[in-house]
Amino acid sequence: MLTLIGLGLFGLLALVGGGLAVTLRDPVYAVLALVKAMVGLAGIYFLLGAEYIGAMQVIVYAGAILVTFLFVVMLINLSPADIPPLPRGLALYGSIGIALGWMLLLGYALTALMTLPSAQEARPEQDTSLPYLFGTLPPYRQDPLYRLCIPL
Amino acid sequence: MKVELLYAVLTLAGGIFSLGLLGLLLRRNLLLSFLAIELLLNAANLNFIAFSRYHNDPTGAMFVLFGICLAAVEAVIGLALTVRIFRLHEDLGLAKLAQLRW
Amino acid sequence: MVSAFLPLTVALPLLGAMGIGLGSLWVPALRQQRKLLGALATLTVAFSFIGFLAAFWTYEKPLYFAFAWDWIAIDALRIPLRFQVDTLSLWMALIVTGVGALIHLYSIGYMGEDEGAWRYFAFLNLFIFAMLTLVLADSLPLLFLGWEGVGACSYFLIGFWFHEAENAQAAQKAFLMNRIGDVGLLAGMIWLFAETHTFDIEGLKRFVYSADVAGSVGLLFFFAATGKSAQIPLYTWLPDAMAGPTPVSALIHAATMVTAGVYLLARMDFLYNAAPETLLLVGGIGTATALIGGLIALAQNDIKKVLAYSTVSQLGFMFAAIGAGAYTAAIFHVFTHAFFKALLFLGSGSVIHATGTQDIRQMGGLRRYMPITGWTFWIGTLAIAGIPPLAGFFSKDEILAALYARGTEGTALYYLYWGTLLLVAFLTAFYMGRLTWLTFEGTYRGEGHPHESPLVMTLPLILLGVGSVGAGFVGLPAVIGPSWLREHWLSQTIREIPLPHLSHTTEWFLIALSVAIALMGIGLARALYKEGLAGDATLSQRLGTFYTLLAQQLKVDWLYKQAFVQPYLVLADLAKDVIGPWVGRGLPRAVSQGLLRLSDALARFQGGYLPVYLAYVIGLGLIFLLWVLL
Repeated sequence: MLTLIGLGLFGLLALVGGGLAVTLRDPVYAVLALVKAMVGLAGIYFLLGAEYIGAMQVIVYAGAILVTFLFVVMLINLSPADIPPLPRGLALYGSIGIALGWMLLLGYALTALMTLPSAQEARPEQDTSLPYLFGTLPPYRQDPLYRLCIPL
Repeated sequence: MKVELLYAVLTLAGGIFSLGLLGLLLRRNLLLSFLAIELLLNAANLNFIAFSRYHNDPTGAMFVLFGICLAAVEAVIGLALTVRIFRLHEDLGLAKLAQLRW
Repeated sequence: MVSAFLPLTVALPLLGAMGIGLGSLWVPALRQQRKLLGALATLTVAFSFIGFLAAFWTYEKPLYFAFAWDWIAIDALRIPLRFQVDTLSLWMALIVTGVGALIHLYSIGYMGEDEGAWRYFAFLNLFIFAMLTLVLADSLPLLFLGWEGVGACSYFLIGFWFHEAENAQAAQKAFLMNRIGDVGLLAGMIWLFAETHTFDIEGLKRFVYSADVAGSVGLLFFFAATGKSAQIPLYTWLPDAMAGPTPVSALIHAATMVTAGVYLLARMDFLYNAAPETLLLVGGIGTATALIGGLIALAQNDIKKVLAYSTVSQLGFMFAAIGAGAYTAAIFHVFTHAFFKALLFLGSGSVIHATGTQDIRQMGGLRRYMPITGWTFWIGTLAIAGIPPLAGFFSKDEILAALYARGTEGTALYYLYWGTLLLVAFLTAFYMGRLTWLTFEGTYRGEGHPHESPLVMTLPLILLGVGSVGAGFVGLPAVIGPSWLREHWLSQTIREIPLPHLSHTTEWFLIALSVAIALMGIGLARALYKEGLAGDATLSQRLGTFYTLLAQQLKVDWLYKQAFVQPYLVLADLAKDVIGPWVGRGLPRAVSQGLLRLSDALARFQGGYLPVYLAYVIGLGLIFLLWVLL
């Protein structure tokens, strides 16, 4: 439960950061907003138990890449005046798009639930013919989500 | 790791991916388009981590590690090109760069 | 012996043409030696004439001579360059080279001052050669070569002073009219070949033709002749052909070109003998042409126009003779006509040379200033009018007698032809009398000081005058004595449907009638034009609007223009205004514009603008999702 709450908080942080990164007119602010999103994502990685990746996310992404971005923005002296304003009606069309996207996603999920064998039934039986090695995928071939993405 | 948590993380990744796509569509500036691409990459990374945890398999985490390296390299080269283009054109508007050769 | 020289005799005018033409082209200095070039051209034709004269004296049977190579060799079909010297072709060749030589001689004086004299003499020689090819050819394609050569040379010579658009147009008109007729010759030739598989004229004679084939081919050949010999409906080029130098008119009208049609029909006698009913049409067209030519000549004021229509009229006589089946009479008229028409044209050239105008209203009383021209012109006038014993009387009388004789056979139409031609004979005497009186008698109405032409021009006039007086005696009327030309010479080659025998009384009556009519014509002309131009006023008063119509040459040119030229121009305008802009330019432009629009539209899909590409990707992803979903 704590994990879900943490996920919600960090997720919100990442979403807000991402949203600001793509909408703010000032490039410096946009980059800093992206840093915020990266930090949020790093938090989620920590929550999911991938501490090493989370650390890398903070060090490499937030620390190195985005600072390079910031450096370039300042090097070429990109000011808010150089950035055209966002198209009008973005909120309206954005909401319509989000609604449509959710409908699509729900429809997708429903279809998946109805047509695919339930996760329990399709529980992968251990394939003994192929040894499990690093980088091989066989263990998940029967996974419904895998089947959904790669229907072969 | 429960499947509900996986779905929640996947939905979050989808949201971030959508934001990145939105940015790519909306931004008329080369540098800011790059920013949006970083968002796309991170959404993919998040997916990898989620499945890696769900399946208890480190392969996904390895993918993410490579992805971050890739992102760093891409950022360096892309930004270097961006600076060159800016020197050449004094402008980073995508509309101005909409030609196949110059 | 003589036959050995014949190829050279034929080739001499060609050699002369090539020598003069090419020589002057290569050595421009030669062009200034106009008298020398003229003398050279005259000599080649004169020698050619002497050669044919020798062949004439020693003639026994038809001679053939061929050049060493075949002209056309396609599979089994071989057309050699072979010439046939029989009585008919030799007779024509004598006319062509004899009268031609005199015209050449005259041209030295007439064209001696012209800058383009070298061109003139080269074409004149080539003209003679083409005509010789035409008459001596032993196969139809070779005849056609000469036929076309004559047409081309006439084009060059009528348009000799091509710097004036009018002359160039006259040349074009002559050429086009001739071409229309040429279709008939080609079609007839091909038809005959399809029937017999030979082009050889002697070979063609050996076949027996059905009346249908003979009649159809005969009519096609006659159509060709209407073009070359200026008959209805294709005669309008001849009056316009006056645009050329006057000796050229003489050559075209007297010795060459227009006689080609008569010759062709006489040569193809076997066709018309096999289908006599076609002759009725030939005679009708000939008679009508004679009438129209004679009428229009009444009201013309251009000395050469009068003579041109007179030629049209006389050619009508020849075709009327052929219509009666009297081919020899037609050739006889060609022969006599060559003398007096050449004489008249050269005389008119002498007058034009002296006065600088062609309008007879500006002339008058010229006989006092230029007696030789005046007296010889009088001889020509009397000859063409048919006053015995001058040449025209004999040939015209033979034609009229032949038509009358055909009438007695039962075809009443021939009486009509005969009567009409009597009227035309009257008209001929009248308009020639008018011309001569207005030109040479009375008082001089022009300005300047006319003078007699030099000897080089008057000598041909005198010689032709002698010919015009004496030429008729080779074909005496049956009642006086046997016609040497018909009985002894042309009968060796030409086969005629025998004419019914006329009684002596009838013949004398016909002779007296035609003489009386000729005298009446001359007398009326004297009565009207003795006082100068007043006669025209009287005439126009009597004839009213018909006279105006005649002065406008019956508006045939206008009619042709409305009927053929105008629709063609409308079509051309249509092509220019509609087909050109819409189909020629609009359609390609529409296609190219459409393609450009299409490519523009397609290019917009790949504008290089990044978000658009991204939109495609997203769109494709959505489509994929929907596809999976559904």
